[in-house]
Amino acid sequence: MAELEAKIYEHALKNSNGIDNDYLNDALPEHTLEDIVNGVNRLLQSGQLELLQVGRTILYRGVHRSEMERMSELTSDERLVYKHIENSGGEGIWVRTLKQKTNLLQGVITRCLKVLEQRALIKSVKSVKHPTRKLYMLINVDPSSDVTGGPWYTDQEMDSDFIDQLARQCYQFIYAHSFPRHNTKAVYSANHTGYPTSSQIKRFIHENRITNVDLSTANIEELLAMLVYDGKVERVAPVFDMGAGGGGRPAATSDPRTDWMYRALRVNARDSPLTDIPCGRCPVFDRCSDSGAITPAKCEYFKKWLAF
Amino acid sequence: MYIEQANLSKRLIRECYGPIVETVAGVLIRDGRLPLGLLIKNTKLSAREVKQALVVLIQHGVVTHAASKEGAGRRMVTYYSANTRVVLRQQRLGLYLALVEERMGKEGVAVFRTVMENGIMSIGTVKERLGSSEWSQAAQIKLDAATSKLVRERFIVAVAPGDTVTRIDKTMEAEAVELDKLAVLPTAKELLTIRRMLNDRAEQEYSNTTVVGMKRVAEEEADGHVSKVVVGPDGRTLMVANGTNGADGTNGSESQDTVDQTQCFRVYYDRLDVFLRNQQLVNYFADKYNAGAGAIVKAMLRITESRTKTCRDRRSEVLSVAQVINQLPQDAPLADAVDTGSDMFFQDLAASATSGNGTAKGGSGNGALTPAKRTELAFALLEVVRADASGIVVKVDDRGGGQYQLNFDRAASALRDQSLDTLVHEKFGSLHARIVRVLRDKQKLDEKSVATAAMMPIAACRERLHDLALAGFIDSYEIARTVDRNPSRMFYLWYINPQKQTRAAMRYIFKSMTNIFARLDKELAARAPLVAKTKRADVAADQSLLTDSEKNELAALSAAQTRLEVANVRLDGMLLAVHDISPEHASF
Repeated sequence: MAELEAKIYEHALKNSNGIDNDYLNDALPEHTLEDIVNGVNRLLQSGQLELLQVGRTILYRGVHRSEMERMSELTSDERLVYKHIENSGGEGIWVRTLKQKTNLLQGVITRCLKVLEQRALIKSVKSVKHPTRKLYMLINVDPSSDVTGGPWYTDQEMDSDFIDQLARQCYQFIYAHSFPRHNTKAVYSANHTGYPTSSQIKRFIHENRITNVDLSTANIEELLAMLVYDGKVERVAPVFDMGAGGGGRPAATSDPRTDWMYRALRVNARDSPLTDIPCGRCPVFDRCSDSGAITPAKCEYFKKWLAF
Repeated sequence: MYIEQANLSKRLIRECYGPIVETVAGVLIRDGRLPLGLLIKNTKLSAREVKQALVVLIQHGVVTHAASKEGAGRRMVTYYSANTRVVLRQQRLGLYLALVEERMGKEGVAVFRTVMENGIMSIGTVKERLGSSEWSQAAQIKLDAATSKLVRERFIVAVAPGDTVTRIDKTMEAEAVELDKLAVLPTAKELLTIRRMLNDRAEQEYSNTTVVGMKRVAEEEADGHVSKVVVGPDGRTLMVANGTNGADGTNGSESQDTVDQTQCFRVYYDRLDVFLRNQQLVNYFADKYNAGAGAIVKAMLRITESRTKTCRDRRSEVLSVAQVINQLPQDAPLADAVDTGSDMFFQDLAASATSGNGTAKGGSGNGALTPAKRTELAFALLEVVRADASGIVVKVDDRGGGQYQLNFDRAASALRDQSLDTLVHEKFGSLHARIVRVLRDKQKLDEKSVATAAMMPIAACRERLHDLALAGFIDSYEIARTVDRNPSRMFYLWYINPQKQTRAAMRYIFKSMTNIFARLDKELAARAPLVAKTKRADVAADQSLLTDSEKNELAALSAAQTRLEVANVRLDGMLLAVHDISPEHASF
């Protein structure tokens, strides 16, 4: 029987996704199904196998020795809590969610978490989305970008300076490619395809080592969207060059998604007529009237503005 | 906004017509439609004063009247109502005069000003006021030509007796006439049909391009030729036009239509707003791209001007490329406007346009530019403005190099958004402006999504959203998660409500304008004795009678006046961009 169990254990370790009874039956034809099932049960009891459910199928997965040693020191409650935390992966799991899934009492969960933390099996992290919640995950797992906030967050806080500096670099790069070099007053024609794309900007940042933070194309596009909302750049749809003069850009045609280009806008210093007069920035504008303590006739801001 | 609008309107009426008229108009603005009796009672003025004030206000189109049968005896009662929109136009009169002078010359502005100052006037009376009977024949011909041009271009329009009747009463009367034709009470569907028909009739009347107030005049000579002295194409020189009777032989001369001297005219302000809007559009493209793009758009707008009645028109007529290129002035700054590189696309287009139509203007044109190069650059710039994200210039067809159209709806939105974004940026900061643009793009979002899209911490985002909501620039939309609509368990989505945003901006504008007037009064009142002194005959003749400090005070007063008046004009320009040019708000 030990030989059968060893064979079952070996097969289970080989297939990290899990094996089922049919697989074992095919892999071990010399043994009966009853023997296989008994072997599986003994391995489950000893902790060398664990059960998985994928849809309606029950699978068995092998547990490595190191993991077995770790688990052997834990009580069943602690093991249950540990398994749920392991399953949450990089997203982490909240205490309340843990309570719902395990149906254990709050005190029991708290005790289990304390023990697991003391044994350096799990760690707690804070999520940027829910700053008041504590999430638990395995100690060797990196938190996902949803939890940390991605490259824009440092120590759970949004790094506005970093974002602004990077945005400025991107804007300067885009500006340099948005107008003809020999004549900055001119504009390129409507079918110009030389405006930079998000992948080109990403390459520029990487090649010039502007930052050592690893930025994906999606991150760059978030930054460029911010520049669009600031009114500094605009997105330009790629033009399909059907003419004979220099066909389409190879990168664009091979890339299945739309490769938007970005063009800088000439941001002329524009002042609003309303804020040009003192009333536009007056802190007591709503209380100003023809009579009373605050009137335009008595206004000190007007006096200074007219004397300026 | 309405309190601020009412205060500003009263202030403007006082400035233009005096305190008695202001009192009468103020009551009408505050109380709405009133009959004469109530008006006299509420104003506490004499009946004579109220009637005189009403005559002035009706003459200038500020007040309209409507009669309705009331009471058991079915007596006719006349109600008067004020139109603040007309009053607010007083701010823009300087711009209108400058516009008319630019296009019509000194004679045109003299006629225009006379009509404007008097509200409604016939051309014969205008000429009497100007004393044109004592002018030379050449000057009189110029005056007639300018008057005809003013009427043809709809700067002044003929007035019918019904023009002073309140529009809604006219609509109700027309509806009542249609309902009287029915034997029984109308059903809802019939009523809707009647209203739709009346609406269509009004639209037809609006779209009517006939110019009222002109009449044909022909002077026939013994030999059958028709000759007359007319104004040349440049609007200044006089020439004799000869042609056979009945044929169009008037080579380069004006039309033979003249203005009916007995017809009364008034200034058509809505039409003049079109030119002001066009100027803002040209500036929009010139700022965004360069002067060349602005010149192209100016040429397009110039062509559409004759067919665009008011800012209510949503789309212009369709323009061909040839028309636009022909309209471009010789000194249009095209040379450094666009870099077509060695792009064959525009060169081919230019070649086909110049060979097919031969429409490119001859000569060396813009400096060293050949006609073909000029056409190529014009094509390229047209495509640049067409590709603009605002969608103002639209290509409707590819025939003959391309057919283009201007979308005034989008133009109004683009100008309004630009004005409001600048206002938010200057008043609150760049991060607030970013939030406004995020919401305009994404429609309704909760604060977390706004913070993510705007890339700012959620706490700061929340504070900024509330600042904007308090000022009226954004609004919130609640979605209940529970049946009891518990506020703590609701989704709050933020969004831009364009009407509310416009009203918030208008409130600021109206109040600021009123404050400027108040300050102007104070500056004048503080120096009233000095101003009275300068009006004395001896001081007016000899300025050295004033001391140095008095001269400094006068200079300070002049500077303050200029600064305040310029601020007012700029605020009015913002009001135009934010509200008046929108097709929904533009009146007939």
